[in-house]
Amino acid sequence: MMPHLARIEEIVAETASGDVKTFRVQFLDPETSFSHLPGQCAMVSVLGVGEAMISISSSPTRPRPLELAVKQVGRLTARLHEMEPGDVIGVRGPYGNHFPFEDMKGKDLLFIGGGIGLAPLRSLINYVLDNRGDYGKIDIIYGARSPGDLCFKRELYDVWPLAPDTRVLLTVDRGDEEWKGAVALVPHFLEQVHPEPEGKLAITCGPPIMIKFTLESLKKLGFADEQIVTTLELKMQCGIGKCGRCNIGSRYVCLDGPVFTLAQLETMPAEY
Amino acid sequence: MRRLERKDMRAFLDKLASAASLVAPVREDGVVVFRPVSSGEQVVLDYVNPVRSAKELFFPQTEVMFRFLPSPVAGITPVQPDRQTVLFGIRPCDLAALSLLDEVFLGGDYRDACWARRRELTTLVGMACEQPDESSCFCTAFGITPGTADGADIMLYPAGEWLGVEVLTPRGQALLDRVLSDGAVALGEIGPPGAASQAGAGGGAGEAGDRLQQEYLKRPVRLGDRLRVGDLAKELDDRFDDPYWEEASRRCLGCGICTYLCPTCHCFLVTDVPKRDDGVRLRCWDSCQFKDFLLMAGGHNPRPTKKERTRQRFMHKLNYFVHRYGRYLCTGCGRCVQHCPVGLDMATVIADLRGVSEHV
Repeated sequence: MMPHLARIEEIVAETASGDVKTFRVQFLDPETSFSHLPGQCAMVSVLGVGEAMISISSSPTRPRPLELAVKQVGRLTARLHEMEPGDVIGVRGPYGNHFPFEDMKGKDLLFIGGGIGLAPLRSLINYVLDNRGDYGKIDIIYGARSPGDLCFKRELYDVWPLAPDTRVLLTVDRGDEEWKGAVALVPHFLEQVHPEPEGKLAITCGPPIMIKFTLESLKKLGFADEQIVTTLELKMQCGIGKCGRCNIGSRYVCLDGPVFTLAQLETMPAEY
Repeated sequence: MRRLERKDMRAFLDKLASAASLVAPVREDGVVVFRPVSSGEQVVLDYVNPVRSAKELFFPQTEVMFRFLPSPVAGITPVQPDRQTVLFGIRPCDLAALSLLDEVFLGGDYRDACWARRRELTTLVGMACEQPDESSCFCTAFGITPGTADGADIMLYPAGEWLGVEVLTPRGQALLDRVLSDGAVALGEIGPPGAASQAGAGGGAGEAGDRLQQEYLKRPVRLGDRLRVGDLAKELDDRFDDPYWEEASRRCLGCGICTYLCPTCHCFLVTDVPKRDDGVRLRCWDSCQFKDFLLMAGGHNPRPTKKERTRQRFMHKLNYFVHRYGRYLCTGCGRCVQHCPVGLDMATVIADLRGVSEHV
């Protein structure tokens, strides 16, 4: 449980309000062994405040700097948001399983993200785009409360839509004067887009309530439980299956998750 | 097995205390607890089991993991225990609990350095149970007995005027060699005087030692012998939504005493204590019975009521852990039976779940 020290190189405000920031960090000791897979997480320390599990939003195909997109929700994230380039944090990991990027080969991929939930998906999206030939068509459905709350705007507008066979479909809960796109909750928007389930895998991440209704919408659209992949998060202290906190039944989110198929979730108690 | 005269026990303990830092049962404010001692005088021998389990020797209630300097300077210095320790008087239930916690802290892909280091530094001198508590001990429900020595380096078997001494590991032998080195304490042979002292004269001493051990292995444990755990783990696969959890949880006070005294509960939280220029990162015991145990930043709590928290504690020990590690996470030490203020203890819950009520 000893963190590696890492220096914040750059901080990018993702949202208009600044409640989501991406931290680009470099390990102080360049020899630090840390190589992750898409979907894995890291325990991030603000020394003096504590530690929290944060998903890694950079792709393993672009390993350094490591990127962590963090929404300000609690004590630790508030202190992290006050930090500046040059400040030093602790990082340990990577922890958890990963998106099944091997099993996804040859399939069409449907990403469905909400708010900060795009952070772990981004790791996989960039991984897939860096190995574009291995995967079929890509649809990225992404929504946020308002246009200003959309994260990773450069990639949403200028990078991902230009990739071959890739669509980015955006929606917001509430538009503004400039917003010309869809105004709908993500699950409703998903049903309007009406993707066909054949040969497709759906990967979704977002606030719990969005995930809940998105799973229902996917089922309505004919997706089988095995075609739906999502991530869970629970409070964690150790990240390595010892502190006894993040279990759902006999599974630990930190060791056996955060990535689960809906088929797996159906076999677990609904206590998350 | 050799023989230690009871009258030599104090001297034996003094020797242990001079060989390493000795932790042993002492009476403190009217209860028996494991504490560091400097001489045999302080040690109590007429105890059933210390009120707090032996886990705290390896997994302290509060433990400094490392010291740090905060950003922008930033530095981390690990804190590692380095004292050779002898734990005297650990009972079979607590020995079994250590092996269960070894699964958690040493098993899988991540080895816990603090736990591993303390385990390596500590020699365990176990004590078989002469008189298991009638109303709270239930180790036999989980296949442990008053004489089970698994995990001990040396096991002692009280036998009236003397104790049988069984060495189980090279570490135990090394400790015993040091204790006996200056001849101040000597061990005798078991069996009739004269007959057994002739080396290689037959199995007399061995047989007597075996008989003593067998007698402990078969010693009755009233409550444990009545509780039938059977296939409970498997049965519980289908009982997550059993109304029993709601019903049982109504009397829980959420005090967490069960988890603090339990030798197998291992939940902890991690917290930083900043000082003026530096600070320490601690880990501290925590309890799944506390309402904010799983409360997340943002306000979501997957176990918001006592029902979920009660279910979590018992399902973890009787089902989830069995799925993960193949063993029940309870050793029948009886501390929760003795100390739960409302009688929502493991023996009661097992009896309730099995639909039997004769355990009390």
